[in-house]
Amino acid sequence: MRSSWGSTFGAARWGRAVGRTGAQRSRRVFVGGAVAAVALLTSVGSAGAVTGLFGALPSAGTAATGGTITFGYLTGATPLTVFPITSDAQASVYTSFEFQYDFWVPLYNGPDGQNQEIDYAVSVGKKPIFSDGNKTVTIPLNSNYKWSNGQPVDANDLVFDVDLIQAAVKETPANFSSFTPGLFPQNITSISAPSKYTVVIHLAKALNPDFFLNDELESEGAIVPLPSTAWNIAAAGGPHLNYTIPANAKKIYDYLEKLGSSISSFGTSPLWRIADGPFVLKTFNASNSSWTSTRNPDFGGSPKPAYNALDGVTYTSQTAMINALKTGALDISTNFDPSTIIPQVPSLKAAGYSVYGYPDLGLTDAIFNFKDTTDHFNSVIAQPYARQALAYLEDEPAYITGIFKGAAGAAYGPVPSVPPTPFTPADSVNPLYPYSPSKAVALLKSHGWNVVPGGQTTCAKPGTGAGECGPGIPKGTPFKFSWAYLTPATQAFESVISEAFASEAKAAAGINIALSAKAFNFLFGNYNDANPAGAKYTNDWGVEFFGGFTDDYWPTTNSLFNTGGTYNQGDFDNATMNQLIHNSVYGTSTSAVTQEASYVAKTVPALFAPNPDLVYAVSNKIGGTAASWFALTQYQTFPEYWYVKK
Amino acid sequence: MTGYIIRRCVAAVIIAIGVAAVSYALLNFAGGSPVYAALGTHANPKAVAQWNRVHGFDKPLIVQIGNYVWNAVQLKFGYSYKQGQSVAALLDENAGRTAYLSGSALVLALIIALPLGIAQAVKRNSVSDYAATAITFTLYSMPAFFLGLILIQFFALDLHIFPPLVSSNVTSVWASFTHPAQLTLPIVTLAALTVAGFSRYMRSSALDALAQDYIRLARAKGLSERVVLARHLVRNACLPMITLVGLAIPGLLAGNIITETLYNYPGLGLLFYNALQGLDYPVLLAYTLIGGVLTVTGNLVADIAVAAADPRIRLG
Repeated sequence: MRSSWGSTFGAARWGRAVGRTGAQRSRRVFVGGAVAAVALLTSVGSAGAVTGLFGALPSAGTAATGGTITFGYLTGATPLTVFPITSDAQASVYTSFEFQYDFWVPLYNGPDGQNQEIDYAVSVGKKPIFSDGNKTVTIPLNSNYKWSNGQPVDANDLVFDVDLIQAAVKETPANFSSFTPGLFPQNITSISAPSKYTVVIHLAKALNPDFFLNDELESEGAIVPLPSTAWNIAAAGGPHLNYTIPANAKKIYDYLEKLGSSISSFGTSPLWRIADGPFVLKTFNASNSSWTSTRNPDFGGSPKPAYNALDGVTYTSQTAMINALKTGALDISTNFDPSTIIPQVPSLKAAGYSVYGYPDLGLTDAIFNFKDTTDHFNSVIAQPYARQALAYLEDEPAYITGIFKGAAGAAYGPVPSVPPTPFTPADSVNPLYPYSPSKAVALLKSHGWNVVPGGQTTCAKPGTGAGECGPGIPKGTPFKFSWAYLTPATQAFESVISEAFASEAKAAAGINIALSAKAFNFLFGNYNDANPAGAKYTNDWGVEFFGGFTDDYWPTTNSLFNTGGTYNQGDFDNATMNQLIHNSVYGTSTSAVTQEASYVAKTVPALFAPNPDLVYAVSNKIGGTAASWFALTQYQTFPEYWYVKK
Repeated sequence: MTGYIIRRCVAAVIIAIGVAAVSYALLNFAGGSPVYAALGTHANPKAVAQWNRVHGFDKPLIVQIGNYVWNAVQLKFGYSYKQGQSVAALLDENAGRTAYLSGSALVLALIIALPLGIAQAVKRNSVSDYAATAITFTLYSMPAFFLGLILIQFFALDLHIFPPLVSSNVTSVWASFTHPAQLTLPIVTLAALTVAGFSRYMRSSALDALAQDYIRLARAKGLSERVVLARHLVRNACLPMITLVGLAIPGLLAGNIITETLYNYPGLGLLFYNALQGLDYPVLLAYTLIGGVLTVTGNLVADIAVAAADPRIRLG
């Protein structure tokens, strides 16, 4: 589980979060449209089935041979490093999913079309085999991949990558964006290559196989076999080193990391031209981060690209990119926030584009602060009924229709209703607490609250018995709290949802919410009980809403809702939750994460909100498989599946 | 005059150093070390401490300021961890493009605004004066992005005369110069907004000059109106414009963020905006420093130019 670091549209997925810390499938910024969205929200009901699919996928057509496909980037959301071991500071989807993985194929890669799971057809690794009580993992590799220098991609290349990651993490965990304390690569006691296409990993502690495969080995493609016979150097023209020696691995990592972080090296260093992906980087313009790549004739995957070149083109704003689309100058856009692109759909269609959107696998949530003692909020929010009452006040269908204009999917827990995963619990699709102000009021009244719709609800029956407010809640305690949301200057939907929810809570249940807008970095860094630096802000916020987090394919909330979790920003503390998360990470059950997600949906440790679509415009001159277009909405490019139409 | 220039230059250097020191201190208070930009927000404390030690951010603030100023004097502005390049390289890449865009717009604006202002003054309170006033006020009140969008819609998307944005292949000043069609709309957008202000100043200045005795005397001598205007009015009326242009110099590098963003033309303005979004402090610092230096330089150039143009002015 990683924070989805919102870039803005510019950049960041600030917003659903501007940024995830891991391989950073960051969420996009939803800027603008807030006022209109509020107005719309007031005029829509709560009915209507929403699948999250917006528009129609680009048509397949017939592939021609040759041509160039251009892919759009936004300034400030461009690749920061070419070296596939990506640090926290450099991790973003633009660096990895939409850039590096075009040139270097991850060990495990996905999704498989709509389904959020590994697609072995686009992975170097075959399905791993777990043995020795899940402490030994044997990874068979496909033998068809080759480096562009003619060498085969083999087991040593995977060992090389893991050795470098271990060296990187030893320097500082921040060097590896997918690092989780105590897990990969710290839990590896040894790694070896007993045969040319087999790697064996021994773990210090057994992990749930599904967790290790989907969240560690897949880890959003962060494990990438690297050319061990070419990149095992510590200086330009230097000797080739034995990377299994940790000291050498450190030297190699330091050299490659520094070189890979220098934008001027992207298009010039011969090292980066040794690739096993469908394309090989040809040029990189340090001035504007636009780049060109050519088809890799040695690509061992299937299908082989039918076109000659894939180019990344950078635009300074969404407006500039939309204008480029209107003139047909760009084939595939970056993902847009719905509020920006939906008004442009008619003109883009007229200009010869398909516009479609789909939510990525992730959660959007407003986080409760269980340590905020202001007005005894810590005691109030500790009560499950209080959180459930708040959930009843959230009108997700109306948000989807009014704010997102249909371009979002419902989410009632850590696993959204769409896109589908093998682990989606039933209560992620059918909410336990659907929008019902009357049920919210009834729930509060049944627990000793004097509900004053439009006024101030207070605790009338203090105590710990049935029908009483609960421990630590004195008589007269108002149900009120502060709510900080991501500034609409970065992304709009958080502010609109916050305003809509606060209005509803006040009018229907007399719950008073004091709203304020804050920058993402401030929220994520300071309104954070998991961060020692956040201690002085603990009583400044009752709820924060900066976006959310992106799920891995095994969508555990490990680090998010377990006690002491790195991103447990509100300090949620629940023994059952801890046990369920532990089962997901260290157990053996294949349904552990489903049970965990179901419990999260039931206990409401955060207020879940709709999952926004990622909306793309694709020229009608470009074809591709439906799976490749769905993959794009998960920030993943499979450019070998695209082609120029006849 | 020489002594004046030397004194002003010394003062400019002191002010620039002061700007650097104050800017550094303010950003330090606001954001502290750029360590989290370099290592990520969840870097462990040990790594943070080591990074700060290696890069000098563990030293007292006054020492850090001193180091920064000394490095800045040597044009070493640090390293952008967000963009993987030295700040000097980033400035070098972007400054020329912004200067070309802003400089071209400034020249175009002057070419239009000076005769327009004079013509309005000469034909004051006429239909043409009112029409020009209405147009310039409209432009003056128009946001850059709005004017830009109108121009793009009309000249690019409807008439297909100019491209709607600058090609990503136009990355150098020379490329900008050799592809005039690419830069036409951005330059016109900026120039149109500048014309509005300049022409109003010019009109006002020309009106003042027209009321002066030397104009009446020139006319009384029987000089033609064209000669009166060309020889006696223009030079005197242009004096305030020299100051205006001098003050506009910082804008040459300070950038035109809206225009750059709208037309896909990466320059200093956009660099600053992205640095602000990404809390890229080394870039923010350098940008602020350059803005301060250019403001001081612009004032200095304007004062000297006015003195050179108007012999009545004697500098003490």
